[in-house]
Amino acid sequence: MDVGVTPGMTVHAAVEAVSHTYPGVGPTGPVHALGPIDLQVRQGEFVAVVGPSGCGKSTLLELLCGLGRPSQGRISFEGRPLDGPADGIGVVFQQDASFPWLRVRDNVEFGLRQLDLTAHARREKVDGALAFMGLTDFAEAYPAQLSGGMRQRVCIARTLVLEPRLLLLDEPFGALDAQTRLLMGEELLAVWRRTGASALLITHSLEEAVMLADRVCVMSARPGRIIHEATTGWPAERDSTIMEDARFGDITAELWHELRAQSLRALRGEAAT
Amino acid sequence: MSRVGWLRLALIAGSVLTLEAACRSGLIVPFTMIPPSEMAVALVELLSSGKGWADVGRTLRIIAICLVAAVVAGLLLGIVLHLLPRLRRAAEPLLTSYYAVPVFVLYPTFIMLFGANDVPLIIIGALFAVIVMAVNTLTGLQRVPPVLLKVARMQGLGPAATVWQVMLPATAPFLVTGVKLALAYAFIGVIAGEFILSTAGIGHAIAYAYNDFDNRTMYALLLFIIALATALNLSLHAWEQRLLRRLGKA
Repeated sequence: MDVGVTPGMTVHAAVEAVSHTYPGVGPTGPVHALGPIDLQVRQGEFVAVVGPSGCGKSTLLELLCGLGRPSQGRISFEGRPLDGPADGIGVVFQQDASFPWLRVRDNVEFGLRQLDLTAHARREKVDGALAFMGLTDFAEAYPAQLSGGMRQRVCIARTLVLEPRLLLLDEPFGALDAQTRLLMGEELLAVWRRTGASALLITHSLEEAVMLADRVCVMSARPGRIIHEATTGWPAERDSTIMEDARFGDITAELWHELRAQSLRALRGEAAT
Repeated sequence: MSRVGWLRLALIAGSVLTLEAACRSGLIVPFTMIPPSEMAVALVELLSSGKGWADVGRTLRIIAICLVAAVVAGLLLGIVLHLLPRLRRAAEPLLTSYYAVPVFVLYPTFIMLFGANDVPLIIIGALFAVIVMAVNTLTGLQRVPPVLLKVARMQGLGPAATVWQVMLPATAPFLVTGVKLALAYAFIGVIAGEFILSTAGIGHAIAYAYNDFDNRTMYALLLFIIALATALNLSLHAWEQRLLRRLGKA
C-alpha cells in the first residue's frame, strides 16, 4: 500500500482553546457543551471527528460554520479570525435541507443568485454541479419526488456550486441506509479529490470516519474534547473497498477502544472529568 | 373520481333529492321552503332579470376588501409575533380563545362610531378573518425547519432575503390555509352583518325577502350564497392540495 497523498502543511482552519457554553434555560442552568478543544485542518486534508452522542460535535461544526461564536477561544480560517459565515466555507447538514418549493435546478442555483453573476454563468455552474452529482436527469424534479440519498446529493451540489475551499459535513449521510451511506461516501471522496477542498466530517460512525478521512479525531463525552487521534495514511484515490485493508480493522479497533469508554460514559450520563 | 368522491357526491345528491321529495309531497309546505329545483329556477330568473346583481356586486366587493385587509394584517401580525417571542407567549392564549368571544357583539358599537355605512361591515368582516390568518402565519413560521435558515445564512442571504426567499415559501402551505379560512370567515362576518343592519347587499336582500314572505327570492339568494362560498372554498382547497402534493406533504 502506498503512503498516500500527504496533505500540505499549511493550516487551513484552526480551532484554538475553544470552549462553548449554552446559556441555561430554566432550572438546568448553563450547559458546558464543548471544550476546551484544539483542532487544525490542514490545506487539502480530510479530517473526521467521531464522538459519543451529545458530546458537542455539532456545536463544534456550527462554530466552524460561523453560525455561532465560541464562548471562549478563537477560530480562524485561512489565517483570519472567523466572525460569521465566511466566503469559502460550505456545509452539508444531516437533516434534509433541500428547499421543497424549488426544483432541483433552482435549489442548486440558490446561493449563486446572491452573487453578481450573469444568468449564463450561473447556468453553466449549475449544469456542471448537476452533472457531477448525477442529477442532470432530475434537474426539473421537486425534492419530494426524490429519495433521501438523491435529496442529499442536491444539498451537496448546492454547496459545491459555490466552490468552497473548506467543506464542513455534519453527519451528511446519517439519515441514509447503510449501503447508500457507503456509496455516498465514495462520491464524497470524489468531490474532495476533484475540488481539492479541505474537509471536516462530523460523524458517529467509526467505519465511515476511518474510510473517508486522512486523520480521525475522537472526542470525549460532554463537554467534548479531543482525546485521541489516528492518521489513516490512505491514498487519495480510495473508495469503500479500503475497508478490506487489514489496517482498516486495526485503526478502527484502536479508535473504538477510546470511543467505547466515552460512549459508555455518555450512555450513563456521567460528566467527563 | 375516487370511490370516496362518488360517495360524497351521492350524499349531497341524496340530501337534495330527499328535500325535493319532501317539498313536492307536501311534507314541507311552500310557505316554509320551496323545492330545491324551484330555488335554482328562481335564481336563474332573479339573475337574468338583473335585479340581484347590485346586491351581489356590493357584497362581493366588501368581502374582497375584508379578505385583503385580513390577509395583509394577519400576515404582518403573524410575522411580528414570530419575531418577538415574549410578545408571542403573552398573546398566544388570547389568539386561541379569540373565536370563543362573539366579536359580533361589537357590531353595534362600530355602527355608532362610524355610522350605518360600509365601514362597520368591513371592520367586522376583517376582524372575523384576521386572527385565523395570523394564527396560520405564526404556526407556519414556527415550523420552518431551522436547518433551512442555517442554509440561508451559509449561502449568504441577508435578513430580508431570508424572509422572502426562505421563510415565506417554507410557510406557503400554512398561508394558503390561512387565506382559505379567512375567506370563509369574511363571508360569515359580512353576510351576517348585512342581515342585521344594512341597506344593501346579499344578506340584506335575504332578510328583506324573508320579511316580505318572498320565499322564491330568499331561497334563490340562499342557494347563490351557498354555491358561491362552496365554489370559492373548493378552488382554494384544490390550490392548497396541489401545493402540498408538490411539497410531498399531501
